[in-house]
Amino acid sequence: MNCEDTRELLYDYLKNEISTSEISDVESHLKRCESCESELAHIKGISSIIRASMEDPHESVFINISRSIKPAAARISLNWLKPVLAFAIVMFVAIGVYFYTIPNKTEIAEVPEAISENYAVVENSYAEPEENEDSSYYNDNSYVTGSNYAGGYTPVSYIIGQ
Amino acid sequence: MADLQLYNYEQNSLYIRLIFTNAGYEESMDNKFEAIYRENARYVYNVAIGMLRNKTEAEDIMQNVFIKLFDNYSAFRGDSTIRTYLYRMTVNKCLDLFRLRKIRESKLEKIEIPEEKNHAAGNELYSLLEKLDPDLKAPVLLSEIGGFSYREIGEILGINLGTVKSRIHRGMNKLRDIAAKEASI
Repeated sequence: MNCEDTRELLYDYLKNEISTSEISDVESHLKRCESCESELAHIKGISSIIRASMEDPHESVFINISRSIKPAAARISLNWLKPVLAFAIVMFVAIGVYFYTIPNKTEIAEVPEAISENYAVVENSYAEPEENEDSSYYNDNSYVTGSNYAGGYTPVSYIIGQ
Repeated sequence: MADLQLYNYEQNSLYIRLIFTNAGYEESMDNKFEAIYRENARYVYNVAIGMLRNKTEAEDIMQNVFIKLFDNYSAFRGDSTIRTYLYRMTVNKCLDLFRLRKIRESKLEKIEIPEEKNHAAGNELYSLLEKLDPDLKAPVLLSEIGGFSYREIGEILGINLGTVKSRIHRGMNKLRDIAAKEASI
């Protein structure tokens, strides 16, 4: 092993990142080469400078970290409430919408007095008229629904002319 | 089991804490977290200082990294993954900060930014690392300060073994050159 090959492996040798055969090659070269031996000393020196320069972080850092994580822990412990609250809100809105939009089933339109005097109000007259009846009167009749008719629940009323 | 706690925090505020675990859980979690902090803080901090050459930024990064570790603590299995996570986060955050600095410098172009150098004057490590590229600095610091193997450094930095080796060699050669120059002055 020549000097160039050895120097390539010196740091790996220090960090024990080479094979056992390479270790013995490097060591045997170092025994007979002063230049590579001093190169190894340089690398060791740099390593020791780096390690000797290490400092401890200030204790305030740990205090800051502790302060930051404790309120967060309190928040996490109430996370289970979120889906429950979401479900409750959705249910509340859905029930509110249901009661607001559905009309009163029993309410029937009031028939103005002027009409009721001249017309008879017949409710639920879905049945077909009898065959022997004159059906021509349907042509002249008005189809009336309650003034507050809001859908299929209000009974249809026919006002039959007299 | 539900456990309602009232306690005075920082002697000023009263917090109400409703914890649905056993009462000892939080205490043991605090102890575990403190043990992890005590074991790793010094090394994480020095890797960050070595990368950034700035104590305030290094402390900020360390703080963020440990808070994130605490938030994600339940996802870890074993101390080795915690260590890897800590150093990976630290190096990544340092590299992000380098990128931000570069963007800021390119935007301000010739306007000189007063860089805060609140480290001890004459610290040999800082003068050695000052001219080293961050990509070379990271594996060297992880090897020297973190004491990681090349394989672990590869995992932390997300690079293969060959790249780790070549970066460490280049980094150490450059450091040796800088040290030799400084010695000759």
